[in-house]
Amino acid sequence: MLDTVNTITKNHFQDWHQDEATSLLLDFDIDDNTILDALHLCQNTFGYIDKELIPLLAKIFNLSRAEVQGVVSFYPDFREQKPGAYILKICQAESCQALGSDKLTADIKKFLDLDFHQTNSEADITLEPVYCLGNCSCSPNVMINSRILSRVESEKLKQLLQQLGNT
Amino acid sequence: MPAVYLPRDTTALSLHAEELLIALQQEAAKREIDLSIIRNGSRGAAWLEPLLEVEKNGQRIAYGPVQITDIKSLFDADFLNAGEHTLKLGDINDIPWFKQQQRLTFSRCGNTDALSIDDYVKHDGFKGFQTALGLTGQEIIETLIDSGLRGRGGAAFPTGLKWKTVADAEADCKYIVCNADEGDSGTFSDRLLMEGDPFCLIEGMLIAGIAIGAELGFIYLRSEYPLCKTILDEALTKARQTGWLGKNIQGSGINFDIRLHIGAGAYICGEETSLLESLEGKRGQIRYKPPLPAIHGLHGKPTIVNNVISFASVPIILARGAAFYAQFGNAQSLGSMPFQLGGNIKRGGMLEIPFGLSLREIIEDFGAGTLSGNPVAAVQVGGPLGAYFSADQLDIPLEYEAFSAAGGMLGHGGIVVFDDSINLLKQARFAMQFCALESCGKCTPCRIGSVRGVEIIDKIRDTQHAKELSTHYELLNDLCDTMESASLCAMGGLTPIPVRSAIKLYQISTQADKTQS
Repeated sequence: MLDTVNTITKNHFQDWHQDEATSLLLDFDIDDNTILDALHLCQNTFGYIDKELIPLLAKIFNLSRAEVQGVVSFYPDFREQKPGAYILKICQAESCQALGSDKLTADIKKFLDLDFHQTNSEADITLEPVYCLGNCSCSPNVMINSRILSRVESEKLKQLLQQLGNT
Repeated sequence: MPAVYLPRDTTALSLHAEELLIALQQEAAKREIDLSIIRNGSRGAAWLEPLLEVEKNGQRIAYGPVQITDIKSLFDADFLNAGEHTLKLGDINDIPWFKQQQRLTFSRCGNTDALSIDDYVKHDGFKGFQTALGLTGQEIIETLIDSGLRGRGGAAFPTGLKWKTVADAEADCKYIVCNADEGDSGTFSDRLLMEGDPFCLIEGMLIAGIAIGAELGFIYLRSEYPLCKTILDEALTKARQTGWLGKNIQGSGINFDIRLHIGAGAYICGEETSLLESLEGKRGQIRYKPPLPAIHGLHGKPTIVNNVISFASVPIILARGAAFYAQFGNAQSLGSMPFQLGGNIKRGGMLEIPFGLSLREIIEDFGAGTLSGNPVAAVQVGGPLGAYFSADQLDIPLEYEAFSAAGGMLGHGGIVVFDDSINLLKQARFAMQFCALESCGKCTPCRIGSVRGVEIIDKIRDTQHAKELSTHYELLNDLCDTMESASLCAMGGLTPIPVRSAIKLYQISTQADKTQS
């Protein structure tokens, strides 16, 4: 897994600016896209859904702020805090459990001194749970940004995280 | 120019196929060999990935699993001319794992360049579409009904009947929706199909459009599948560019297009009404049924909602006929089914076989037992809402009815194997916890029942008193009854299946422990 470090792209999220968001959504096609698509677009840009985005989206989609907030809070993907440069998701579902994901999770939580949905600002890593990455014949699986790694062992993952922290 | 096939699928990539690609190119350049590297999909044998294939005298010679450090020796062994090497597996079609399968829906997957329309057409692609053009909508639907195809997403409702309901509904506009929110843990056949043969899904949806007169389809893809998104985006663009989507498709006068939407991590959005809510940009809360989505679906219009594999099975049924498809399988389970073998298994992956083989045959013959080498202790079939079976129950044939009779369900065909390190009480707790986490919150039995379920199981875990224990078990049983009969959808309604089956196996094993001591 030592060469894997080069295949993981670091997140470069823009700092939140309402003006940036406004211009990002200026030409947003609300006929062919939904508010989920808009939320994905914003989260891919800023890394999370800022509170100030809610009234903006409410106006664009002609919804109440409560409705927008309701959508944001319903879906696990949408974060309300800016994540680190690396988002590590460890699969918590049955297939990965069958090959020790519980222990892997505990090891990594301890190593990063994090619980789920927290960010280690020094290592610039956010830890999140995920329920199945669809790679169940090569469990346990983790995802770092968009890169999926399989048959993951604690020690090797720690090594990789260490390397990512140094990049 | 020698051609090498290297899969571009999530499994192969997770096992460093992309790094392998670079190593291959570099080594070929060093040796001044002009190499054509074709990106196929995976054939599903995850235990052989990354699986390299070379074309030689019309055969596909396989090597695998290949690591970067093997590249040099593969060239030294002249693998481009099918040279001998310790990783050589021979002709792909002679490998028992593949030979024993019946590939219908997945006939192309792994064989072709996933993103080449020419390759797709060369391998019988769009033949189902051509047949459909010569039929009325009603005839297409009758063919589907005769084929016996049942929804492969999990509910197993006859696909043809669903289409008929939509066709019979009167409306100015109808929609096709593909449920690609493959959230069931232990399942990945949708992913393999979308990554390995995306045009097959497009063709299936297109035929559905012709059958009911819909001009617009949607694919609702889960966000956990980023590679699928990339590949589908490319496939949809290519299909539009070559006139296989859009206006007047191939001069037929038929208009049909597909939009891709990405979910946001909610398991419940695999439930069809929740999916429709999500596609409309709302919270993914389920809807009351009736009205069925077939009558009142997306934006209130009659809508076909089918799983990826259901749509992808349509082209071959149209191309080869209902009788051809229905000759496979048994009784009410006709055709073939992609089963996905995961968890603690030596040879895991996806295999497409006719219904009727036993769980044991799949786990022992295909899977070669557990990865750890320890005995199989339990197997969960059908995703997080499926039942746990013990090692004594593996002779159940993989058919819809047989599994219902055994208190489980085939679901989307996921099989997760556990060895004897399994803690069944913990698995029962997880099933309740997962329900609590993923419940949409609309109905009380699911939203509250799951939370109470976790609490009761914790009490079972923490008590030693026989009398207290029996009270807790009784309460849990009551709670399961309530969830089963009063939940609005399968999330709360089926959660008792893994809970009860795991608890039953747990009780048997603790009883056995007591007898021994």
